[in-house]
Amino acid sequence: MLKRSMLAMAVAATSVPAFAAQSVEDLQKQIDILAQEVESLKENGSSASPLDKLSIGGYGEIHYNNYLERDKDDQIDAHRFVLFFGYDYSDKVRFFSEFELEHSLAGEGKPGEVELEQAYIQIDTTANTKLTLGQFLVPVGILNETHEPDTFYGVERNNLESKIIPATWWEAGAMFSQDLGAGLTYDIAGHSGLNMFTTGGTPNKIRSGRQKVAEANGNKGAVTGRVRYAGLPGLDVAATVQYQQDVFQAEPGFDSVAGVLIEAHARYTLGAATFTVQHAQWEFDDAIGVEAAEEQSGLMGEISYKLTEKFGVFARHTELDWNDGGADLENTERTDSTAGVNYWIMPRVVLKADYTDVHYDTDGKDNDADDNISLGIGWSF
Amino acid sequence: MRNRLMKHTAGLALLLCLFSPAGAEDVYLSVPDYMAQQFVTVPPPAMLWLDETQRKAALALSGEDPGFRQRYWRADGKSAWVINVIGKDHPITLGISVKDGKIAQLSVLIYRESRGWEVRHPFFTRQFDQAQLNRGKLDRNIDNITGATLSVRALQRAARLALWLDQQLP
Repeated sequence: MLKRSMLAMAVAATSVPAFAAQSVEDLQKQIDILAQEVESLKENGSSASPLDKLSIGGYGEIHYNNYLERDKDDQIDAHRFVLFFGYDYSDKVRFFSEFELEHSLAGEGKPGEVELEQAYIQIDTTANTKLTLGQFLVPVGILNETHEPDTFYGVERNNLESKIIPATWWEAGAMFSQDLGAGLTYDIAGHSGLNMFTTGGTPNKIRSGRQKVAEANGNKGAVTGRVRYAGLPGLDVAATVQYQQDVFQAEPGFDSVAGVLIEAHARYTLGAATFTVQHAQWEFDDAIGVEAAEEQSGLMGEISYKLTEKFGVFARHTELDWNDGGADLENTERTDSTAGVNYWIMPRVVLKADYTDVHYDTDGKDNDADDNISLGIGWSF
Repeated sequence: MRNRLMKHTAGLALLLCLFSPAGAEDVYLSVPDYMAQQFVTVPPPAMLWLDETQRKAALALSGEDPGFRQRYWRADGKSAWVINVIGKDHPITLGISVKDGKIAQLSVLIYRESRGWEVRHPFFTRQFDQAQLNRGKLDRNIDNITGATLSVRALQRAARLALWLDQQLP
């Protein structure tokens, strides 16, 4: 629009008498100069309109879960509807945000939530370093930071990145990132911590410990460090270590429960095939009160293959050992085996279908209860 | 001890900024510097004007609308283009040169997305060297970078567009 306006201005500025006095070459030169100025504005990211500095994006996914052997109702759910808003103050200072409505309907007694998942300023301190200040996604795992539905296989995200890594997981603080070159990068962040202690609630459940930076208890914090290597095309290897000072956010004088999370994953794409392995493990102080909950872990392996540019198949195996909180004194041991397909109608619009067989090694759990066929549609823009 | 450590963590991140190497600013290229890499003597830029039919054809092939005109540089049988393409939600500025219908060099000039900055490195961009169009697609597979999927896709769209634009030159 700007480009058209400027060219129109150039034409308008050449009134009829002036046109008579100017050669075609002169007019062409003026147009070329104006065009160069427009290109320069475009490259430098600056323009007369603040709207040109604003960026908007988003993603969403709607799921249908059919439980094969359970009396419980099947479910259809507008699981996520997300909008991104960003603003470029300059080429070196940018604002990013992510605003989400989960499960379609939020409010008292409703299933969903309205969430501010990201809101941060990112500063390019040098060409190879950046500083992130505000509310950001914790740099851990594969899905936590990149979870647009068209970028991964499976209707639902895998349970390792739900129950062990409580994705989507965001905290507030500061993060420094450096690109060391040749594909080696690291991030180090100091940020708000988990609060897994809820009176009468589920004190040992990691996922319930997310405070979501909503008037969060800030007595104790956490530090996260990640090292990542992606120096060979198709290869991604990363490891994250996080130290939580006190996941119960205890008042001074009370016992604290420190926790350490170690996560590592490797993904390699060879031609149309992609291989992924991921492991994550928590260790908490024994003051957590439930011996079984002191260690919680997960292991995931996935193979996918793109038969065509638009059609891919995958198989995934996930083993979990986690504490569901509440009165559970023993951990739940669960194995998910999933196979399915993705069909990309467009590069950023995907249809998904999969089957998951769930097996429990824990007494009292129905092995067939959570087997399901799921269908989904997802998009991003 | 732990309390003090935690309280100063954010400060540590800031301090790291101060001690980080600051001499690598040239990883990003300006347009003049990119053109100086492509040509022995940088020619003056020219303009390729595109009508609606051409724009639709470009969009169908590459997934990108080139607009009604594109600036380019041309000498020694090589054309060079500056193309903006959105990865996730911010524009990535690319320099792409084409010779004999094949990509001579693709470089990231400015990267503005929050994640995925690995795509600017030669270990990734050299996958595009000598790539050409085959039935409207690149003639080779471009390996992805996990966490930079949208940027990788954007670079592939820009590469197809540059190859198509080169075909439009008289």
